[in-house]
Amino acid sequence: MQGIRSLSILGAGLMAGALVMATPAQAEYPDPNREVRHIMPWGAGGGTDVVMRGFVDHLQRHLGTSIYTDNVTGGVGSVGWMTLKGAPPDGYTIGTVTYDILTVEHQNMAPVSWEDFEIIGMVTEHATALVVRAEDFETLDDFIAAAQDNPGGLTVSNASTGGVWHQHAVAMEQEIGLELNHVPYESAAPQVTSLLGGETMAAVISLPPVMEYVRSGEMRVLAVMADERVDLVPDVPTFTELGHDVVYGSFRFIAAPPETPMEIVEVLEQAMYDTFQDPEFLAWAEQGGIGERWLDREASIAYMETIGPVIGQLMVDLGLTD
Amino acid sequence: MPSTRRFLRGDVVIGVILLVLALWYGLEAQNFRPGRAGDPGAGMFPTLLALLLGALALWLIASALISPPADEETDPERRAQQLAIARAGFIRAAIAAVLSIAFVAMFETLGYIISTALYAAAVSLLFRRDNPWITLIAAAGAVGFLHLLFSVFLNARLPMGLLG
Amino acid sequence: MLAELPQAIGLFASDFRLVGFVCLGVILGVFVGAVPGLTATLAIALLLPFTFGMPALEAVVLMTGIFVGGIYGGSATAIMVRVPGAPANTMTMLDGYEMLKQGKPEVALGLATAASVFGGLVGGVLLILFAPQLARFSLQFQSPEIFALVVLALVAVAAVSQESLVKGLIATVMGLMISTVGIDLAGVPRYTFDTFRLYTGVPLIPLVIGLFALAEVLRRLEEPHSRPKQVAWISFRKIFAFVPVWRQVGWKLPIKSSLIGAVIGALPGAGAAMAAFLAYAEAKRSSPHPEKFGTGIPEGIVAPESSNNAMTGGAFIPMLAFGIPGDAVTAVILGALVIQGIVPGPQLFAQAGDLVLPLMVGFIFAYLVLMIVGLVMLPWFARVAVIDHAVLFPIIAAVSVVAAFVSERSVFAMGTMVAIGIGAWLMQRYRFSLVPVLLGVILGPLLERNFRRALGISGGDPMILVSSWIAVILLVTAAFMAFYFAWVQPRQQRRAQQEQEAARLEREARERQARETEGNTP
Repeated sequence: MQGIRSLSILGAGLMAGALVMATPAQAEYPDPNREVRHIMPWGAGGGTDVVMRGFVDHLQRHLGTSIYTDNVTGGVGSVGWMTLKGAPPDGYTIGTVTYDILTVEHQNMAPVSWEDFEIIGMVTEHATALVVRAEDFETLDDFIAAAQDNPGGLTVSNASTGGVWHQHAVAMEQEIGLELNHVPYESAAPQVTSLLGGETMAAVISLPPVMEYVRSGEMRVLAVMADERVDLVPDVPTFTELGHDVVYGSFRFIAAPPETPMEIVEVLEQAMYDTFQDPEFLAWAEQGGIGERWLDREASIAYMETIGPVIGQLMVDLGLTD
Repeated sequence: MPSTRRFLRGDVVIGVILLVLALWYGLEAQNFRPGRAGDPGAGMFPTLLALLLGALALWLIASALISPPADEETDPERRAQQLAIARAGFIRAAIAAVLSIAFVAMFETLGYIISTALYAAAVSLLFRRDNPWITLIAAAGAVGFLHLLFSVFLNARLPMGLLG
Repeated sequence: MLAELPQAIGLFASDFRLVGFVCLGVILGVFVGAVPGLTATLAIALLLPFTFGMPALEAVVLMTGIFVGGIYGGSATAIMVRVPGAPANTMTMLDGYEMLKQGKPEVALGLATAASVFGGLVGGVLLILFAPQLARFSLQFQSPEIFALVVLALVAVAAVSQESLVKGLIATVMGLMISTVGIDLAGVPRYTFDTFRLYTGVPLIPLVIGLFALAEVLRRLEEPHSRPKQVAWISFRKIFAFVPVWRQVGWKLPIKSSLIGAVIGALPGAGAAMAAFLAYAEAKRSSPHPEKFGTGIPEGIVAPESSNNAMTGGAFIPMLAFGIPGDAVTAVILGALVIQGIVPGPQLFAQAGDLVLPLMVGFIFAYLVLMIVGLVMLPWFARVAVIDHAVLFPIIAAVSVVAAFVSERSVFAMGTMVAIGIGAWLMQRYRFSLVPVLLGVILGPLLERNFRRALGISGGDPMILVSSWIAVILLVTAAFMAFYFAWVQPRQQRRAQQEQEAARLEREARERQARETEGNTP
């Protein structure tokens, strides 16, 4: 439970290391006539999809060839990661790796681990939020009261059973002492639709996919699981402020298939670094509230080595491992 | 009517094969990890599919046994002729199926140019053997079309094998 | 949304690349449609990797063009060589080929072209008018309703694409079973035999190629080799010969047939063949002289062709509004849309108005292109069917095997394609249709996901599946279709066949008599 908080401190320390520059690009890679396939393990229109599509749109300018996004979804992300693991290591396939790579590893879903990949760098680190329809609940206390009145009846959506939002929902449930009905969807996009349509009463989700409806007043963010308030929704309290020790978040990396040559990894790393210096990208990121955060390859690996066991322990504590 | 019985036997045999398939598929589904948190689990949907397939297989067998006989050629000579044509056709298609497997097996070793030319020529010969020009056009056409489509337009590098 | 219409039209007027892609798509579609054994589905599947790097709109209008051209292209060969390019063109063949025999191929082709364009335009206008409305309605579609809609789609496809319902359903279940291979939605590996490659499931493009290209080549090899028939040459001066005939038919029939087609299209799963079949049946039923159908009358071409083209517009509605593809072609187009980051559903119409509307305009524009392509180039396209099978099919076979390699850059994908192709050929030999297999594979995950989720919400109570009126109506419709095609239709068909047989015998007798009289008077 201390995990994410200590991570933020760790991350700050690592930022210095992040500024180490990779050696400049050389030789033929990337061939401007060949497209790079970006494997997206989550459904189109979801939070990760929208954010990472936007990121590679900016990345391709700095890489020098076009990148297209291919949604290879299913199995808590493992279908996409298995595909990335088996892809040719020539730099023309890259992929998004998220928090749930640890879920897949610790719950023995598929033979894939983050250590299989050549991590290029981190893109975002973002807090988890509890979102409802504005007409249903005014405050977190309303939500808690309703859940206590109807144990096991209040439906809360997540983006796959055992996955990141499910873990954080269960952690919230156990910390506050509730009993909820967890409903899995494929990604944030159907989570949003089901909340709008009334199939579920609440969503544990990241902020970007719901912001449109929060601004229009259809949805309300009850609280965020961050250690301090989030710039995107400055009026929304954190769980800690409201007296509940619920601090969780998620992260996204870009990675290449196993055994991708170091020269190619360095070219990609440099392109990512350049993207994070690009004011156009930064403006886009700020407007969307994606939680952008750059860690280079080395720092990213250190981050994963630290957070991996922490999240593994969380899953054991929540009773989500075999 | 022996020919009718032949047709009936076809559907009955398929029904039995499907029953075995359903049984294996359904039993396999019982080993999957049970679901968590209200999810009925990975085995439920396959189990239902296995039951459905089993029921459909029984329906197929039953309808093959009770349906009225199909209109078949009654003249024994013409029927024998039809059977011979059908058998020759089946053999041609089966050879092509084997050739396709061989094509896949040789594709990387021989490279796409040689293997494609051989495969297209062989399949062309199965269609007709009376005109070597046709065979040649098919082989050259296949290689040329592939080269144009994949190497030139799609920029997809194909294995060169022996020529590489 | 309609307020943005002029802007979307302006986009086409100002962007030459966009116009070029529509034209390219239509020409390509007509070409593949005219080659028996090649389908628009296959062409789009093969082109899919092409489109990854293209801007979304260009990719989508290219595929729309192929879809539109493909449905139409099949009618040319149906008329000219009595080989329907696709099942949807079978009804056109009946009267079209008779008209050719009467020495009026230009009238038959002209009518088919005009009816296709008319039907397509009606479908396109309905798409623009109704898709946004339906998309708003789609918020009502939660897990139980989507489950019911997928069931309806699967039953409809199983029912119409095969003479025997039980075999269609078996093919559907086989497809659903293939869809369960790989890691399930909760991360459990199923039927993978511990093979690394199977963890990600059976790859879709090799599957499509195997089902529809290799299986077709093998099937063709089974038939005795026949030289292609010669095709009559049509002079350019005659391309408008159909106009007086069309005027004689009137506007009521094409309008009615188009509406039938659009409604069928909006029902997921029903498909073009059913649209053509129903429109033909209705035209015959309401005609003052039903006995003339099948003897080469214009109504027999206008009705099915306007209907199966109106279907294409209708078929986009469930795809864009619910993300549920109505047939094999829209399923592949949906895959392409998703690659471009376009997600079907209510948000699509709210957010991507600058994409949906141009798409629909592009759809209508494709039909205008088709009018020109159809009339000017049709005489040539019809000659595609004259290519010797011993040249055409070996090339198709080779391209399909290599395309499977390219789709995943792996020999494993090639092997999968060949294995599926051989399996599909054997299934077809025993009169199992292959379209339900594909729809089963594509819709399987959607079916399972919504089923499991609905049961999760209700705590395992299956009554949730019939807890809303929409779900009940959809499931009852599915049950009714199953009943109709298992029980009522086979009887009707048998009766119709007997009548046709009797008519044929009578006609033959008459012809023989006529020849004899001719022989007697030198």
